[in-house]
Amino acid sequence: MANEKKTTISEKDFVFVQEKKTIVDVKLQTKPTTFFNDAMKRFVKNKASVIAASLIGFLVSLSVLVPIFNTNNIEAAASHQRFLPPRWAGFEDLGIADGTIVYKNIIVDYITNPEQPRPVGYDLSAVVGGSDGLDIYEDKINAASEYATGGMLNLRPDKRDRNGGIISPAVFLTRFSEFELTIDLPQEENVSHSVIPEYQLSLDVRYASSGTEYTRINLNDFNSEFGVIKVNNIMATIIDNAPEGFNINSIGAFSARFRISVKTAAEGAFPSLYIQSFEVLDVNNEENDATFNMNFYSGNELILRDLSTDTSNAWAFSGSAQKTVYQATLFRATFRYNPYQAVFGEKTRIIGETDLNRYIAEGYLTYDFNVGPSSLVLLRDDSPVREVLSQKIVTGPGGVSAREVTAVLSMYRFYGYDSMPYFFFGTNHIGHDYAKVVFSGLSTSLLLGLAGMLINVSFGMVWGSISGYFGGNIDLAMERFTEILGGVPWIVIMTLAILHLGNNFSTFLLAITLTGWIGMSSLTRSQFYRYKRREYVLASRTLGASDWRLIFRHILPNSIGPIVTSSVLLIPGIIFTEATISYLGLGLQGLPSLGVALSEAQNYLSTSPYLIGWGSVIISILMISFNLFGNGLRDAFNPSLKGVDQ
Amino acid sequence: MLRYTLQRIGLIFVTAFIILTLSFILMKLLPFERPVGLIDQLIAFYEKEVALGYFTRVDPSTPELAQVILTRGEIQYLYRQTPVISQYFTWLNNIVTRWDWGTSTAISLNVSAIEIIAQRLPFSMQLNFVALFTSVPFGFILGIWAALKKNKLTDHVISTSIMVFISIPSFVVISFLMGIFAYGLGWLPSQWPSSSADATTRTLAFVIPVAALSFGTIAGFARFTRAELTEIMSSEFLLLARTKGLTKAQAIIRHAMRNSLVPLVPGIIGQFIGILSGSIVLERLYGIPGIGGLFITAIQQKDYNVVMVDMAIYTLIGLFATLLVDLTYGIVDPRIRMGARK
Repeated sequence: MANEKKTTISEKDFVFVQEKKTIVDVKLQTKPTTFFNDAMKRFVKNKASVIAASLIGFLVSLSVLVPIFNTNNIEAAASHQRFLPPRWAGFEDLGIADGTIVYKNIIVDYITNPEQPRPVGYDLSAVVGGSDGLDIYEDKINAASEYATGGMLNLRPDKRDRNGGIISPAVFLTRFSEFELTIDLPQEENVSHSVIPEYQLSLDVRYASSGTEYTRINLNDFNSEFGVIKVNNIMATIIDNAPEGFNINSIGAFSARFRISVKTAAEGAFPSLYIQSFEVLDVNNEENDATFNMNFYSGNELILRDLSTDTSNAWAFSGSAQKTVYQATLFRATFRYNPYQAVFGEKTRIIGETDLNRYIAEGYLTYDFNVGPSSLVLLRDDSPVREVLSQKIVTGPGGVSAREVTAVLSMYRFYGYDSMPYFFFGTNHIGHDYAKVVFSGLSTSLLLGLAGMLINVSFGMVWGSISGYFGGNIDLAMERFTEILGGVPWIVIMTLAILHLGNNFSTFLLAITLTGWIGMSSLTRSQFYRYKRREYVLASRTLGASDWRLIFRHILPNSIGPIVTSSVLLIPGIIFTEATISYLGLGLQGLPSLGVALSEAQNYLSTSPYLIGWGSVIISILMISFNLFGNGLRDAFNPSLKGVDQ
Repeated sequence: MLRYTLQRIGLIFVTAFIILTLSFILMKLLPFERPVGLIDQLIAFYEKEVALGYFTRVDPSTPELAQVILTRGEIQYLYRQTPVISQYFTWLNNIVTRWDWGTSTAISLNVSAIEIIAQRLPFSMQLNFVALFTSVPFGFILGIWAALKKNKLTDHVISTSIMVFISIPSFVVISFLMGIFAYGLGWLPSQWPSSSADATTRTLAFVIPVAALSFGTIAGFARFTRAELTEIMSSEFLLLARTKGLTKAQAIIRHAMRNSLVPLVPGIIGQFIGILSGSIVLERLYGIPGIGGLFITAIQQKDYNVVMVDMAIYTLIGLFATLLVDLTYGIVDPRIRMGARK
């Protein structure tokens, strides 16, 4: 206790504070706070809610500003610019949002120009890196394709009661030569399946110079011998099998058709015969191409004959069978593609005299149709026509002739843009700027939410106040009514309203408010029950206050907190309902809402996932922000509930 | 209790009756949607309608009275709709006496509406139950975890994700799941497979819809569990449990959990209704042949008889679930006596 302080208190220390003053009411030095100011003060302290509120503000302002300042047309269809990926200014070289998209497994055309492979259905000039930008790999397919090569023919009978096969077109085999048949039946493929096929080669010969009567000659019996099979002395066989009394000298060449038959199976799987190639050659004269068009060297080649416009070399069915391609070789590529380049880059197009004259009149260029392409002079740098390649005269119906030119056009100028356009969210299935579609939809949805909220709150509060304030039989009757109305599933109400009144904005509003007010009314009712028996209400009542005054001066102001909170939460609820209804295909028509924008993008989820991605991000941010904002409001109005359920 | 239950069940039928009556009359006031089909089918359809009392035959001498005129060979068939009110009483009579809810006019002509619903109901129920039984344990575990680690990082992470998943609409979730796992990575089927698909595909097909349905429900359960458990953790009886010498684990498992689960049981039933109505969108998007998707198709094709049966099912499930919630309150916590007087 060394450092214990000794305190001495003298009588002087005791002074009366207000000894000489008279005590009167003193005005409060601090400003009195109101219920809302107090709540506001608490709300501002809640950072998450403030951020949420500013996000809502940001989205609301975007929904107002984007439709005003974004001049892209979202009324008329612009199918030339469908499904463009997002492209942002300043992001051209960053690898994201640069307007390019990676396409996978696209078939590559090596047939047209082996030096310069190109992806089928895509513009090679818009592939990033050109032909070198294609990451090409080999693929096997079991279907015919004009871009495929090789492959076997899979021949399979498909009826239990008869064999199936194919028969060649008629060829003329000259009597003065000899022919050899070679058929390649790969050993491995033919024996590796559960049913080993049995096949037969035969020949239909016409022993006449005309007519349709063919005689069938079997070249071998049904057997299962695979590998490269050769049948020699075809002509000798034909002559040997000539019918009796046939004058061999009467004919110089026999019309013949070759047949490959596969024996059917009485039960179980049908057997498949795999044929790599089939060839009949003139052994004395290799140059003789009488059988050339009939021979086939790959399955793909044979099936393509069926699909082409000229089917004279196609093999017909004999019996009942199916023929498909097995393991044809095809090249596919993965590449980065710039659809903006494909749509808005420079293109060679044919344009008519009228169009060119219009550009001349607008002062872009001068051109003399009598002189031709060399007379083109560009007067302005932003001329849509860059170059004229050729000029010709076309004669239309009725002998009217017109001049047209083949010109190189700058397509973005042609479509009326000053520069290569930027679409922040990309474009949708009808070529509309999706950012504008989403934000216009957002403004419709917010408007619907706000209007619905106001109606629900005003009606619900009136209903709930009456029911809660008066109680008794009035309450009982009003409660039963809301119970029945609330028992109808919302989808039923929505459906009936849409079926009866059509799906426009006011029907939607009606359908939403028809049952939407019930929640608000029951909240108001329970709040009224809570406060109507309080002492201050009783005091006011004994002083003779009217019902009106009691409700609006005493009960309502005290119960307003939870009502405000749930009013705010009504807005996202309505937006959510609207989006759900749109997803179900019953949505607003003629008036794009966020739900409509989303549900349309849903159909292109597999090909253009960025559309649904952007729409979903916007609606999710909106919903999260509203919920956080609502939580913040609840905590601000009733601090005792803070953190109870976040 | 029994008396109260019976009273409530009686009230459910009264409410359902009023709702269905209103729906029937409102729907029948809409212009009649003519079925499309072959002439024989159409005549069979109208004859059935006449037998059921919704249509009357019109004498061919007064064709101006007929609303439907069909010609097969030489014979003309003329029909006219009976007035809505008499149709309503016929409809009621048919249901009560013959359990005949009418036949489909568009989805599959002349098949009874009950039969169409019966074919599809199992798919919806299967999906809803799987989703419910997946979300209950996950929701509880996350909620309990968050409550035990209150105001720590775990709690903040869980609470934030709960917030996010409660807010995000289920159709957004399914879009993302389909975009990533079906189209992007190709692990899961992008559409509900037909019944001939192999068992693996059919099992995998449950993943996306169940996940999309459960995310919101899991978040809901977790939020509720966390709130309940947090409240109980600060209660006096738990403090008493600790002071009399129980370990923290004992106190939580024996006292806190048991008490916090009481209000959750009715919540499970409540969530079932949520899942059921959420699955309407889902069935549509994922091509699941359930009653939710059917409802939308029926509305779009104006097949009112099917709509009525579907509506009746949804209404009854909704009403009975509310009753069940009220009753379970009393069962799990005997202090609560539903319907008790002041």
